[in-house]
Amino acid sequence: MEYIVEMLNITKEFPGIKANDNVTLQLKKGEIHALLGENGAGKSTLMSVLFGLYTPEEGTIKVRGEEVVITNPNDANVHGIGMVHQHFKLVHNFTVAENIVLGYEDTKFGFLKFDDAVKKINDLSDKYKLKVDTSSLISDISVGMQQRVEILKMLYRDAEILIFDEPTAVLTPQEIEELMGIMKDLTKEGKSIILITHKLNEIKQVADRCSVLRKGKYIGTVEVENTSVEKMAEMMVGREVNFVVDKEDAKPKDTVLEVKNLTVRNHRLLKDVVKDISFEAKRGEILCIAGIEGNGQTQLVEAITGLTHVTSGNILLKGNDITKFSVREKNNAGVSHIPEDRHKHGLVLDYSLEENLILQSYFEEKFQERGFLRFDEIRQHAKKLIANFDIRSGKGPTTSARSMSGGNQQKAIVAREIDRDTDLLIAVQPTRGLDVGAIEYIHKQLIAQRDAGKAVLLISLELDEVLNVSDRIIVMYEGEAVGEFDPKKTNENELGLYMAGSKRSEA
Amino acid sequence: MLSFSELIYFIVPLVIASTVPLALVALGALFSERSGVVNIALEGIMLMGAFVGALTIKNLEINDDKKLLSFYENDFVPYVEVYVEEEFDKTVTLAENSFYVDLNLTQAQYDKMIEDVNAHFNGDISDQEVNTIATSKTFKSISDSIQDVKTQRYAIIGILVGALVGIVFSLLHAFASINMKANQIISATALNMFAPAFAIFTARQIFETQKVTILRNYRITSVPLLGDIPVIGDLFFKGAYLSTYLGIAIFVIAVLVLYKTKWGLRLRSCGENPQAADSLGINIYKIRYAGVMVSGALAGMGGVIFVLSFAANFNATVSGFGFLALAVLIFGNWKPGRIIFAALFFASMRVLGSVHTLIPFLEELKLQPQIYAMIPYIATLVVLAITSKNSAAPRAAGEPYDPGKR
Repeated sequence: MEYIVEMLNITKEFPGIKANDNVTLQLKKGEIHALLGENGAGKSTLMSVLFGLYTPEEGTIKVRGEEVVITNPNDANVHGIGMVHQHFKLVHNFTVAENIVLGYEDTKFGFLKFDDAVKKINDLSDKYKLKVDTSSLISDISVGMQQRVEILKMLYRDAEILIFDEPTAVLTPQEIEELMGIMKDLTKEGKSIILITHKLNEIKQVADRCSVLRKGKYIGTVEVENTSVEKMAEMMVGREVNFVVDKEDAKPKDTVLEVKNLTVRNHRLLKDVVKDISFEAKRGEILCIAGIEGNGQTQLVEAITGLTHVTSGNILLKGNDITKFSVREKNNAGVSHIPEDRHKHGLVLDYSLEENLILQSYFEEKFQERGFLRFDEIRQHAKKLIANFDIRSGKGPTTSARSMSGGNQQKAIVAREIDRDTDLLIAVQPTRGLDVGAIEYIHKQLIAQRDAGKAVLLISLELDEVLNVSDRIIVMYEGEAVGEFDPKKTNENELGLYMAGSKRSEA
Repeated sequence: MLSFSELIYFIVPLVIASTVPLALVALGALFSERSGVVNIALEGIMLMGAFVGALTIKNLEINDDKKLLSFYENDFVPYVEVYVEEEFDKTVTLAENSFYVDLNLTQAQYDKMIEDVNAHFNGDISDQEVNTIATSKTFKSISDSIQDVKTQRYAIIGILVGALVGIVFSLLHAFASINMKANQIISATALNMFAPAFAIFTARQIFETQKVTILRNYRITSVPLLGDIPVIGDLFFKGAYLSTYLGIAIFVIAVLVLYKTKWGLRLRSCGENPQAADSLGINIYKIRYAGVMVSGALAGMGGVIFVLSFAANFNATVSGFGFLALAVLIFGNWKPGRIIFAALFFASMRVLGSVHTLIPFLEELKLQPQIYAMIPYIATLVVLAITSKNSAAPRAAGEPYDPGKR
């Protein structure tokens, strides 16, 4: 069988770790080859090596049977390798056309030849059904179109080998469907695709073969058709994975959080980012706010937790109006918050673990005496949480938060928030960027809190999580609540339509 | 008191002369920031450009004057002395270093003298300045009367030298902020503090005073042809400086480069999303170096233009024009078209502050002169406070590029 790209025995070391340890990847012409692995398994490193961003210590790369050396993206380009990065590499205030030609410009007397470029882009966009508006600014177009721009960028450079790095993370189910179609069309035209992902359903749907990495090591390559999802998951994690979240039916009791006609205005954009939202969260249930990123969920949570100003409306906690409370007053009144961005709002990265664990309670009697911290108590507190929540770190309580892994940083935040034993727990994308094991753990903790009689408000972008963990779902679109669902009576497709704004329930 | 139209004809050229260096230096800042490097060293760079440029011009002038002096003393004066004595039976002796003498001639005598003097030196001396001397009614100071192409050539040479010095000086900032990933504010501040100290020290070593005085006047009384157009000619083509027109030309070229060429496209991408540019094989470091060097060149030129149009001498300062240019950049929202308007605004404020005695309603306020001098800076504060909300600063400006960061 003829391989178009072969990466043989690649080893790439970073100080302290082997990101790739003797990894082999062989891509056949015209196939979709999935590269599966958890976060930190070395998928991105391997692709960066192929793309010339890193130089491997060992191993060879062959393109169309010939050994090549790729030292920068230009080399990769010459060999017809193109990549759609997970975080789009687009210049926000350039037009679509400018972004596509950037770095590959045609000029006449030193001036850009834009008309020809636009014509080529339109031809490509017709051929592969990649609808874009060449004269729009990137900041004005949807995420789905931005991705099409990224794909066109590769095609414009006549790439034959296309790498998609976690392409579906930011898309709605409908956009994902569309992307899958585009990928299949591309292979029909003779392009070869490497799809990096940790979503097994997608692999099952489009990929021909699948190579698995775990902790930098190459585990194996399988034919997707003959392999079950469970089997692939096991290869990825190294043990059996429980996909179904075990939980009993919710038994909602009295209301803990009541949000009434809440509106938040962004004064810079001059528009309401949260529009007239009302809902209640009860003890013993997990209420999930679903939606595509940037539809006001962040601002909704910021309003509830006190990080942003409420323009109008009220927030009631156990019947008391806390709308105008400060962050600390809200914390003390009984709000716990696992923030969206654990580095920005969750931890002080240069503090030690034990210091991070008392960020909201250092002023309490327990931890201070006449303004001086009681370090013994703080140490004891940290040790207790480390033991109870299995937070792993190099030096225990004194480890700097920056040096901990993402999963353990998140565990530390979860431990801190749960330990405060409040009536309301707000968890914003608590599993973002975590591997399957850590996700399982966080989900169990959320359900345990619910069963302990707390109200849990979960904000999530992952539909799997939304459907598996929550007891009630509210979909937000452009700042409005557009529908409420029972997870047992809905499915990804229905939620997707609401999330994309193409459907809404009339209130 | 001047009439309204006279006032306008007086103020507009002043405003234009102020606008050009401001806009040019702000455009330099734009090149640097759009490539991703914040360059508040512009004040220092401008100052260095102005200093070396002024020094160069002064040197050219002195050399030229020496040549002239020698011709004047050895050939011209003795001939004129003899000629006057023979022709008019008058004795004149020109004092050393003084080129001024009033011969008190009638028009007919004068015309004949010119004819004879010209006839005598014709062929030998084609240099225009001699003609100029000979045709003036009285022998005036040479420096004052010379307004010719050669003199303007000195201005251009001075501007080019300023650009070169700006580039060299800006390289220090580029090295610190691009290679060493230093804090760009600190690095630039160091340069800003170094520049005046260097200028004062060097000037004192050479002239025993920190002032560098430019002897000649580089003002163009009236541009040929264009100056004769009614209204427009009076407004834009009289009493102006060649450097002003040059500045406008450079501005236009720079804008074309920024928006119409491959290099401009790449430069702008580096200031917004260097990771994207890097993934497309663009060398961020090269582009940023180029961006900072262009800003150095423009600031250096701006410095010389500033000296030529405002001060007959350079006294180790550019009056905060470099900083004002940064305000222009911000008020101009990092866009060349808006920069022109911003520069016009600040320039007008500055001119208002300095010519307040001529403007009736300002004069009636009877404020302290210091208060008028504050006008441009107070306007800066107010305008920036109001407009900064919607600023479109390049997203990556000020951040050293780190390829590992996603």
